[in-house]
Amino acid sequence: MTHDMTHDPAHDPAHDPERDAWLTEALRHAPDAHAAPPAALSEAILRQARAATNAARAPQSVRARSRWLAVWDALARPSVAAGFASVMVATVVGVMWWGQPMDATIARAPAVDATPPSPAVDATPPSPAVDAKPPSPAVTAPSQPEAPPATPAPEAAAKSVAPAPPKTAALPQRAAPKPAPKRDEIGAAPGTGSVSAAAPAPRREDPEPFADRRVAEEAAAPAAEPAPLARRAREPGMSAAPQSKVEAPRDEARALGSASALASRAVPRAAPPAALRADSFAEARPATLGALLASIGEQPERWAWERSGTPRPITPALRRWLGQVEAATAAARPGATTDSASSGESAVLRLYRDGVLSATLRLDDASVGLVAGPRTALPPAALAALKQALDDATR
Amino acid sequence: MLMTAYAGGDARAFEQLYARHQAGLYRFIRRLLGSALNAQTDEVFQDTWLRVVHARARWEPQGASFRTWLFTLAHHRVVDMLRRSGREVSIDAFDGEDGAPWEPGVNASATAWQHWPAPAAAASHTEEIAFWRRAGEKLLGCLEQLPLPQRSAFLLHHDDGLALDEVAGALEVGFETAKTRLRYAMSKLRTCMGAYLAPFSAAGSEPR
Repeated sequence: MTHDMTHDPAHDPAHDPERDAWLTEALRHAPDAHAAPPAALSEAILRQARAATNAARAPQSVRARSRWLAVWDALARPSVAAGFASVMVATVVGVMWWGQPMDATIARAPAVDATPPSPAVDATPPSPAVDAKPPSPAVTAPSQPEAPPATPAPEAAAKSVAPAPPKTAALPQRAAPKPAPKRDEIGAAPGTGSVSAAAPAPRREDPEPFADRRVAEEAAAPAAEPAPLARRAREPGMSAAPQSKVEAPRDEARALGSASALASRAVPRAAPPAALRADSFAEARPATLGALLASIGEQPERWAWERSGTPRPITPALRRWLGQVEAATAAARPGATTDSASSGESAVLRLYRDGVLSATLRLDDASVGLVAGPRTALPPAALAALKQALDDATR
Repeated sequence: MLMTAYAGGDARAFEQLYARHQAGLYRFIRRLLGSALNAQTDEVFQDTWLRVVHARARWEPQGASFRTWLFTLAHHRVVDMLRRSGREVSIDAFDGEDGAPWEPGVNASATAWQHWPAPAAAASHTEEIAFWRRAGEKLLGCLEQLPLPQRSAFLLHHDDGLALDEVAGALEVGFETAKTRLRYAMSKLRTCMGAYLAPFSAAGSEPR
């Protein structure tokens, strides 16, 4: 019969006049005084209370997940997604570029700028200087291993003067890896030596130099030179195309010298070997038909000829024909040289030494001679006989 | 503190709260509903605790204690249950009252309850225990005759031990209103119980 209320002063009837001790005692003895909820009910209530606390933890993880979803939704908005994509693309490009030499990327632009003048140089009228400029893009471009295959002969002939931008664009990467030539340096001597003078060495390793060389030769072959090209050839930067054919060898050497000088300025590291290669290149170019025959006679295995696209080893028959031509020109009347080539049909024979174009002999309906040397006027009958003999020797 | 802990996710705090208040709350609901709706006691009891569970996040221990809040919830649920059962629940605690509530010594039958045995000595004699049990049964019958507001005020005050201000808080009424309801309830109960006590008084038992 003890009850907390009876011991608590606050609940003591003596302290609470409104509290009736008899009624309270009657309540304590009521039949339901010890009524209690069923155990199953209590267990159910406690279980639900525990479940509520457990469920309260789950929404926290759901809230955390929803935060990630909110971030994802924010990223999916077009403006944010575009910015994010830009950053990603920049990152990917940067990673791809990682480790690449920066000068190679810078050198591409000047190479493209230097491309247009180069055909003009190649398109200059027949002169030793043209042959003395092997580094012109049309010639040196095939030396790049990664360059596309040479254009077939008919196509090359069709676009005789057309430049080859892809080849020239790739040129500086090999010729001058670092530092790259500057625009002003290349612009000062377009197509002369700054770019091409360093290229002859790889040219010897080139498996197919002939087709592109032929493009350059075909560009130089037309008898009627276009006026703009001629004007460009006489520009200061085009000193490699001399006016006088008599001084062609000297001009060639001068051109090579200037090319070496320009190369040494623009490409200091590549300059010494480029100069050496230019000298050896000059030696490989006979200036006269007699010198050409003598050179072939010394080492005929190093020589090859080409008329229709495929170089072939030089044969005794062709050597005999060259001897015929040399004899015919020697027997011709002294001073019977001509400055201009005939506009008629001509036969062209290209002679390669160690795979490098060393001489081009052209036989038209009025004269015969090296493209880069003096031409000798012959009677039409003699010329026809020589043409026929050439066809027989090169058949 | 326990409720705050439970609101923070401590399930054991709720178990302690339940163990501490479950008996008093169950008894309060059972007596408030009366014998007619005695079968609904479990439902109201469970609903009351579930409301505690669901409202734990809103629990703010400002002023009222958890016990007061708990009995307020139970009272609301009992009112809802009575209304659902079709019983008219009087909001006015003084419906049917004419004049001032009964005061000890004023009423002619005031002497009847004063002849009851003293509460402290009730446990000492088997005869007295039997008397109080019969008194308890009688009191439950008298309680059912009280209006709900007076009944709840009396039960909260006399059975659950709440102070008058706590009763006012639990019933969401003013202090004086709670006090008046309590006085009316006691007056009626004394009157009701006085008739029952007459035979016992005749036996010569003197109150202390």
